[in-house]
Amino acid sequence: MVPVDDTIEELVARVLRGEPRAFDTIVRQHLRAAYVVALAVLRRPTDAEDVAQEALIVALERIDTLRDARQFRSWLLQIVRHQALNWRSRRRLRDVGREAPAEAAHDASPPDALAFRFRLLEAMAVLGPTEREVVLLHDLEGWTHPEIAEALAISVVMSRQHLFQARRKLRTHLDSPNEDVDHE
Amino acid sequence: MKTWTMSDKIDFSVIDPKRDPGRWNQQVEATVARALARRQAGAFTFTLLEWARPALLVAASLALVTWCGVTGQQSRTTAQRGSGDAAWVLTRWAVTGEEPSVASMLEVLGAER
Repeated sequence: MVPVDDTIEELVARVLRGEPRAFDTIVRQHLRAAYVVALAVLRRPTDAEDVAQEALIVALERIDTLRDARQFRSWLLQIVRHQALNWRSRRRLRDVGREAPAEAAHDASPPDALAFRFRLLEAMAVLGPTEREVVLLHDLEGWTHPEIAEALAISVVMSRQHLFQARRKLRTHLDSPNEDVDHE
Repeated sequence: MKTWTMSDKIDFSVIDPKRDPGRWNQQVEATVARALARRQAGAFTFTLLEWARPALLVAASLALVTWCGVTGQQSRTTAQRGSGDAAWVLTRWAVTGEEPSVASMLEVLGAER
């Protein structure tokens, strides 16, 4: 995670004053979390990257409407979720009658890594949306359960429960990937 | 096959956008640049909107003052014309029974002041 020098309230205040460094810090701190939540909805990394960037831009543009700066994180993730759902609706319309784009086409990773990436993305389809968000925020972004609980408006116990279920389902699927999964 | 424990994290490194630091930095910088541009454009629009209301108020006040001036001038003209106008003098005499002054009568009859 990016080292935190300022509290989120101070950062938001500096963004409101138009300080470019505050924009940079806030984007570095939150872009990957935004990506993770977009990925939980879209399950396509390149789409998730685009949505995460657009959501952060929208959030920073409308930051005056944020009532409590301490809620920035959960407010941002709501914007991400909203943008991702809109993106998915548009994608469905766009993709009618077309093959889904090859997600890893631009990726220069070794074939093994690409194969694992494909299986992982496919396995994520067996999870519910909240399970996907929790496991990605915890295992990829490194958030703690209290942080996840606050951002997703769930209890810490539920966060632990979702993580447990998500890991179990993912491992089961990754060990035997032939189960039917919902491809949207 | 590897055996898992439930405390083991899932390895998501293959879908971690930070696995390519150069590309990640480009994304961050592009996002910051676009956010700053959008915010500045938004601030300009906001300033315009903020000025729009006082500007409209001033314009409305000027229009009101101008209108009052024109109306006042018209009333004065009507009043001035009324005192020497034959139709006005006669109508007033007929309706109210108020007899016009000798000067008004002479004026109506065409005498010079």
